[in-house]
Amino acid sequence: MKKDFVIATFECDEKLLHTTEKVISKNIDIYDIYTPFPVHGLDEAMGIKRSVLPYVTFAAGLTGLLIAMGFQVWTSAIDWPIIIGGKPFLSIPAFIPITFEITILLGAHTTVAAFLLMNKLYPGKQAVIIDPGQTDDKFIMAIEKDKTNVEDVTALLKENGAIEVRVQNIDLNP
Amino acid sequence: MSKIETKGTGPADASKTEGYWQDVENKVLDPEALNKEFPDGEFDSFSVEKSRRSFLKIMGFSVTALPLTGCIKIPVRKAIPYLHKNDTVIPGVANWYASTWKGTPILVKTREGRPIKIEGNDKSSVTMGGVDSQGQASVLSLYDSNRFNGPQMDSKSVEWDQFDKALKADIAKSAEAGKEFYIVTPGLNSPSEISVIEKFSSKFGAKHISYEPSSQYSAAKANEMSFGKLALNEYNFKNANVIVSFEADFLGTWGNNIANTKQYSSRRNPKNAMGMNKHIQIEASMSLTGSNADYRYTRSTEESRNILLSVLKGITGEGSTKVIDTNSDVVSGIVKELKANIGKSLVISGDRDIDAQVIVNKINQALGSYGSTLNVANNKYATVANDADFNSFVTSMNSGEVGVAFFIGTNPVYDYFDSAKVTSGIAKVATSVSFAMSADETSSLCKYVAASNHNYESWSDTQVSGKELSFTQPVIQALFGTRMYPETLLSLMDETGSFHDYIKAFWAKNFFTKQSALATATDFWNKSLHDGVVSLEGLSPKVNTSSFSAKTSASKLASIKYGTGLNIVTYRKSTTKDGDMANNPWLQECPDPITKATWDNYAMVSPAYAKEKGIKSGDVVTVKSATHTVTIPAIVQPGTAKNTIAIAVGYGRKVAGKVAKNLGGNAFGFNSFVHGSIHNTTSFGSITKTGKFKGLAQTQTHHSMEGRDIVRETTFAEYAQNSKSGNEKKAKIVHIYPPHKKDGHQWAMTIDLTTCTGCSSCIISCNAENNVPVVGRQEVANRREMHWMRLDRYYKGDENQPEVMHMPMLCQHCENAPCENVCPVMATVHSSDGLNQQVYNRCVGTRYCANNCPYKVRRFNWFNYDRSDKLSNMVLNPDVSTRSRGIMEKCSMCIQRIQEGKLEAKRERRDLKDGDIKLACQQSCPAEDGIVFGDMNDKDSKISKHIGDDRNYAVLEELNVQPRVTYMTKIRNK
Amino acid sequence: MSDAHVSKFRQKLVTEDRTYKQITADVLDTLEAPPTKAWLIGFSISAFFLTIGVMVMIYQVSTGIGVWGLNKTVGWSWDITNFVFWVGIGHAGTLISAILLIFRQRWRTGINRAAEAMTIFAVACAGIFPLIHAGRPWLLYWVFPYPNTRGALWVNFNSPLLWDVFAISTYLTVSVVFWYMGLLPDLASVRDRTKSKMRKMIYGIACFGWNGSTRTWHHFEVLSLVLAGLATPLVLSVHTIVSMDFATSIVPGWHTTIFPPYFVAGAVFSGFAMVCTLMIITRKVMNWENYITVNHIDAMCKVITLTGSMVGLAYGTEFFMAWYSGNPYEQYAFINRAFGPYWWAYWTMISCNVITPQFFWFKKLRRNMTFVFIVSIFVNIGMWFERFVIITTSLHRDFLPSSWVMYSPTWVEIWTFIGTFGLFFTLFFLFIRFLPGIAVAEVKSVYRYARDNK
Repeated sequence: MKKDFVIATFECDEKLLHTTEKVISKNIDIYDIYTPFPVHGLDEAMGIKRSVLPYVTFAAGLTGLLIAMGFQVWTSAIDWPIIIGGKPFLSIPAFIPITFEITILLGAHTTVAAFLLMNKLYPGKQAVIIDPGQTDDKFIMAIEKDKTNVEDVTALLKENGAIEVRVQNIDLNP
Repeated sequence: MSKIETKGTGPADASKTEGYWQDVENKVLDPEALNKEFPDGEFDSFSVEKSRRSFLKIMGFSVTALPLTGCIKIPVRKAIPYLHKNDTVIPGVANWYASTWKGTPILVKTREGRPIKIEGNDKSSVTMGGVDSQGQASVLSLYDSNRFNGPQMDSKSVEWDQFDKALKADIAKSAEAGKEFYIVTPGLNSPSEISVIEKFSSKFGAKHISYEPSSQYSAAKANEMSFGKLALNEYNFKNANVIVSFEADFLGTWGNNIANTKQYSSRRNPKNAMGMNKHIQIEASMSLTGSNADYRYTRSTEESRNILLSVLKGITGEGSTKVIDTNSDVVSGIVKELKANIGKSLVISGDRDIDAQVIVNKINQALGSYGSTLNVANNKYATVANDADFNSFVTSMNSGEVGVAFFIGTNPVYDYFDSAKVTSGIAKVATSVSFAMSADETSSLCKYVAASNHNYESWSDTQVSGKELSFTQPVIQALFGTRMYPETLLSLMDETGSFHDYIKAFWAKNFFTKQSALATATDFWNKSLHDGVVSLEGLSPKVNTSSFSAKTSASKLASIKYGTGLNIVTYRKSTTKDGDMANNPWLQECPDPITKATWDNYAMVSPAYAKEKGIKSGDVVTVKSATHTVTIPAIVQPGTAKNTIAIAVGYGRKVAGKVAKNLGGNAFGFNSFVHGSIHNTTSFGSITKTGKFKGLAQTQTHHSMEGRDIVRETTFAEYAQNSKSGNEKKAKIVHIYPPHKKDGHQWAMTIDLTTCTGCSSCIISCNAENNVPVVGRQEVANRREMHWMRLDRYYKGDENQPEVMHMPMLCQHCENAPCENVCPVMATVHSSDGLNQQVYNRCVGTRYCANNCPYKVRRFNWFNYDRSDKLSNMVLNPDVSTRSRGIMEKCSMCIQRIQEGKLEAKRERRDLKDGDIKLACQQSCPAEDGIVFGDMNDKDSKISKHIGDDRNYAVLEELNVQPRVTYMTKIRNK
Repeated sequence: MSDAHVSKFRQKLVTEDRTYKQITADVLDTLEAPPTKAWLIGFSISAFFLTIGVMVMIYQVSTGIGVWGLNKTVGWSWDITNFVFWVGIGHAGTLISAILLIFRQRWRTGINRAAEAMTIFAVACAGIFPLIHAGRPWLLYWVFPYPNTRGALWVNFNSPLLWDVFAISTYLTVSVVFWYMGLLPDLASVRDRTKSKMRKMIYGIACFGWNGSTRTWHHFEVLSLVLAGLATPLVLSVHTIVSMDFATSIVPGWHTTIFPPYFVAGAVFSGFAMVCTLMIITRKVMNWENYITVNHIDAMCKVITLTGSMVGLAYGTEFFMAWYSGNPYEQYAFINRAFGPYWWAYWTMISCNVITPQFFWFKKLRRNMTFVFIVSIFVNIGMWFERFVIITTSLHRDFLPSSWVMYSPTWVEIWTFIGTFGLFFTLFFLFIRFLPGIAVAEVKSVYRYARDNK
């Protein structure tokens, strides 16, 4: 699906941040900003909600913990108890290391999976590239054309140091 | 264990496969061979016929197969084809046959017709169920693929009838020429064999002489001089409170070592009503017996003879004293002890000097020992190996008087001290015949080779003692085209009928009549055959042991010159002995009880002399006497007299199987003929370093306990005061979690360090029972021997006269086994009856268990060890799986025996009785209660008593691994 | 507010003034350019040793462990020594990328990418040894508790070796994803600037369609923090568990409670040394002196001195405890280490690990690349010997003197070890050739602060 966007290109991340705050304060909602590196404060400025990833991690980790401990207890003490070195079948301390590792394992991998899903990142995905510089040294701000007045926005962006402002038709899923 | 009486039968198999044991060593050195995942020929169609799996099939057509495999034609009476199944042979169930090995009554365990294990016959009043390491290993020699496959003439294979014809002709020819006819055998104690030889001799006018390289001729001759009877002594250590032994290794290689050990060890038990015996040993080099002595004095041959003289003087006043001051206290000590125990003491000497033996007789006679601790074994059916006879025989051979010479089971070319003379002699004998099992130095020089059977393919009988006879019956069909020598003699006499018939008739005539218990000769025969041993009276008439004078002997002995040079002493290892079984890899790999070295002989040097000359263990040295030279590695051996070099005989075989060939150096040449007998010593010797180094393959290289209380010991005096002595400090054990409950059977073992002599019979018994692989010299040198049972040997005190401790070490079956915790895949776990079990199939080989074993008893299969010799694979115990490479193995407490015992009891609908189950090591132990095994939950079992004993302790108990194998403190009678 | 946590005393992270474009170019142009001579030489040498190593391992696995020098008493030696050595090396990478990230140590950005790569390669090398040291490697899958036909025979959860299996596999996989997620933005840069269609396609696939959207960046930063938060305890746990392979046994010299912290310190110690070694080579070979600056090396030297001293303290503590415990076996084990037949190994360890790092108290030396390089090599040697001493000298003389033996490696063991170095450097050379060796995006993100604080 194709759409028209007002595209502003910046070369300085401070100017970008500054402008973003201005634009937001004018209640113009920004479609997205593409930067070569995470510009600190930009997400707050754009008012992006806090990521839910940590909760995912916690849930996954907890599951890992329960599965690991449960499984070890079941195999060692219930399913087939075998005398090992005269130790009790249920020797919890011995189960801790693996429980810990499985907790981490599940926590980490689930979080990564969640991250990729949330951002629809997957091998071979065609990226939306407005300007090849956006992964190098250009900071690209995209505002949906029909949600705003092009002239005003252009002026606003220009005076705040956008080196170029243009309207561009972009295929959002190439 | 059902002992079913049948005539010995079994399959015939003439497989001769390449690649004998020592290939294991080559394998290690040869990466090519290593790459083979499977031994050679594992899959070729023919070899399958010889493999265990299809054994029944072979038995099935064995009769028809015999001619094909080129065996002698046997009357069908003797072969039992499985087409008509023999109801005494049940697949999977062992048959036990009573037989005899070198005078030791034994039981042979056969599975599907294969002899696979030797155990002592506990019916015997003499050996009482003990076997020594040679007996244990003998079954492997049966499957030696180097054996003759039929008779030979001028080293060409022939058929027996052809052989007999030619030999008869030659014998006749020499008779015409008026030449002499000699039959040389070892000292015989077989009634029927002796009678066959007598019969033969009288027919052909042959002279029968007995020869053994390490004979006890001196003792026998001394008896003749003292009491007018050429006969050996029979000892009763049970009655001896004091034993003074000069150079006699009576627990290892001298006399009936098994019977000696049984009796001796019974008096080592501190609880024995007659008290504990006191053992004083005087010897030039450390022997197994010396290592067990309460007082051991390292003295050169000269010194010990002087001590003997002085003791004689001290006891009887006869003779001269030549005491060196340093020994005066030794002498006075001995004299005091002996005088205090009149009639209850025993003086023995291993000295091969006749006069020394006369003196010993005199001392014993003066002490009234005869009839109590020893008597002259005037056995009706015995010939004594006679050094003098053989010496003159060699002379007459060389002077060309001998026309025919039969060498029956003797190999003088190898083991006579003057080998060259025998060689030249045989060359002068027109008709020389060797009755050998496999090619040896003598047979290779003889015109005829009358390939003879292995003991377990033969009929025979033995006079074990003055009161006991023992049977030898074949337990398997002759594997090769061989013939037992009496049968050869019979056929040379044109006798019809086999030796089996002869022996049967002989027994009916001579022994059946001596008893009244059984009515018919057949019953008597069957019973004797079943029991193996028969006790009859009057087999050895008493000899009058009245007083005599030893003056002349004393002065003669005193006159011997020793010179200034080194004194070279030859001795026998308790494993390989005279070298006739040198081709047996079990014996070669069994560490010598003292040096812990395998696969070699070496020159024992005293630490003092080594320091002086800068000799290190492993330095290759050249040992020279006036007449003989060998170049072998040296070993610095504590307890060797300073000016003495001790070398084991039985090595340096030139013509032998792959295992023995060119292993070590031949030391027989150091023997000498002095004062009418062969001596195992020679003076004026020298030793020089060659500069080369040949590391010894030792299983133990650190000999001190580093002050750790591994072997706990005390003296009899202290023990009498406090039965806990030496074992007072017990580790404080804290349990941090409750132990698992112990109901049902709970197996445990105790090992008595006081009675254990370190003879190593248990090691080989274990090898045979559990299919423990042989790894070869190189791998032992790499410290990778596979023995499940080992004997640790520690020294204490002065390195010139060290105290020795032997400690059998095997898996201790810990209740809190450290090995179990660390195995990631549960390949080693604990059984509910308290055994630590190794699951071969599950093992992935991380070796962590071995690292974490404080006793280091776990053994790892570093390679696929060689099993390419199909014939020797016949000895494998089908109840125990062989292990492939990459897995851990260890003592299983003979789990298969425990299982067998339990099933037996179950089948008979009864509870398991204490003593029903005997482990392999326990069974073969010649010491009384050396190893005890049983159910510790059975309160009145022997094991419970031993565990409850104050002497009982666990090695490294402070680790709280709770071993099920515990030890009894060592007590020295001091 | 985003600047709140920026220290005013921060030293320069990038020594010259560069534009973002220049930074991208400095790092990524190498991927476009043909390989340099230095790279080709280095790569082929490593590949050569790798080949030999592989052949030797094939020979050993097909023949049996017997081709090694081990025996009935010393069941582990070079194999496990090398295993612990490599795992230890790995830890620095995770430490730099995770712990330093949590502590907001911005200087890490220059080296974290390479350090993480090093982690993965080192763990890969380490992983080889548990595999081939087993008697029957082809059955090693049995260590995983999978339902099976043996009536569901499970594994022994009491065994530290099993803990190790889980620890190492977790560590490896987590490190890989952590590292790869970090790569995504830079792979995207490569995709967007390369001329070659081939590369465009490959890197396009590899970068998961990254386009630098701020929403993604937002999650990305949270992800990095979460992973860092997980990786930090993980890296500590891994070497703790590795140390338990010894600490939970009863072998005198192994059975010690000090092992976990002691091993972790040692791991970081050896790891940073290895990072120094690598970085000093890399910054030369790739002329990245501006990004991997003397300051980086300097900082790492400080860590080396710190951890080195901790290790030294541990050595002392061990000896004290051995004496203080009054346990004769323990006491003998340590006397034997220092004065027994393997005394030379022990004193090599001491001099390399305790003495050499003390030179880094002097700033001059910390900033002298040649000197640092030499010392880092020494530290690596020393740390290898530490593991050798712990494993071999403890085993070869334990409880029963009757079983005391000596151990010496065979050529097979030696070449296997060299082979793993071959593997390690082969991978590393491939890495700096085909992947962004420096985290471009991260450098850019901190470059601003660097610039501000000039």
